[in-house]
Amino acid sequence: MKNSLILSVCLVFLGSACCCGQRGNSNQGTRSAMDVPDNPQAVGDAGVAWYTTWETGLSEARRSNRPIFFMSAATTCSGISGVF
Amino acid sequence: MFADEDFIKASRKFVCVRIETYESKDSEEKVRALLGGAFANTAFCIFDPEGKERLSRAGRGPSMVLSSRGGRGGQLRGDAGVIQRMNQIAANYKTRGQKADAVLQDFNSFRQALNVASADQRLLVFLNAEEKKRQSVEAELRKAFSSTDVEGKFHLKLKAKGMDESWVKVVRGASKKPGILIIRAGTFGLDGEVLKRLPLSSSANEIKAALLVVNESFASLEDRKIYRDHVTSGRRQGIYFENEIPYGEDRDGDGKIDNQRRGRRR
Repeated sequence: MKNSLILSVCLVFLGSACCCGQRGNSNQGTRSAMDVPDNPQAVGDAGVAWYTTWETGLSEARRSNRPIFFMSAATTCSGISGVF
Repeated sequence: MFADEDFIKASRKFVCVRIETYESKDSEEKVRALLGGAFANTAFCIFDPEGKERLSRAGRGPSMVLSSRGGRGGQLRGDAGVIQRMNQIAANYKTRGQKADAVLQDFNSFRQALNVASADQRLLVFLNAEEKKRQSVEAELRKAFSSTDVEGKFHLKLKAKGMDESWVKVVRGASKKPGILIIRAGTFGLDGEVLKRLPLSSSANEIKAALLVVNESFASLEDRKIYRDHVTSGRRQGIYFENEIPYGEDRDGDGKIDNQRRGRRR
């Protein structure tokens, strides 16, 4: 019982520490979830106005003659959704 | 950096596109094309408005690509260098057309829209109307979304042709009745809740006013996620979001995901 509890705690820790999406100003490649800085922006405030498909973004870039700031990023960490 | 006021200001001079790395084969191919055949969970590049010519090197992120390591030639270092470089690139292009005519944002699926809205902690606006009936609504949405008060605060999904109605099952308070829905995504982006429904006849001003009121209420209800706690909680709850592409990276570019742990789901 005690061993399985310790194992569970270790699994949670290791799972959290596995490679997740790069955020912020990192230029170090993948980072662990323990190192990822939280978003300092208040909820509800204006941020980057993202297009979320290449096709819609490209159409808008052609229309407005603006260059394209392109990112590919993961909205999951080890399959856990709802986070960049 | 993405939350920095100067960065956001500079980003408005670009069309910012952020795709989901693991969403599809198409996403994977875009990442591999940028990273010389390797595959990683992030990739970055600046393109010309035709999406063909690269205006920067490609790399894992803007800091890696745009910031100056040595600070030579008057180039600033760190985040300031990224913003400086962005402004320099944008200065070569003269924007044309009216903001109110901008192409509307969209997602490849409602499922991904909920996930991204949850991850960004922004409200999701869903236009639930068949394509043939929504031309006038889209015009009003374009005006509303081009407002500086609204820009960058919401995500938008348009009902796709032939889209199934399974979204109704995961959004509390939703119905198949056409309308403009303002949805709060759940913690893990697997479900949501309708906070407001507007009729398709709403004007741009009415849409904008409703968005801002609901956003203010949303901001007062929702705490900013703590990344570490979110991941730990998700793992405990057994959350797993299936994407088309297996999670992981292929740094050596051999076409296979590196170091997948044994027994891992998928």
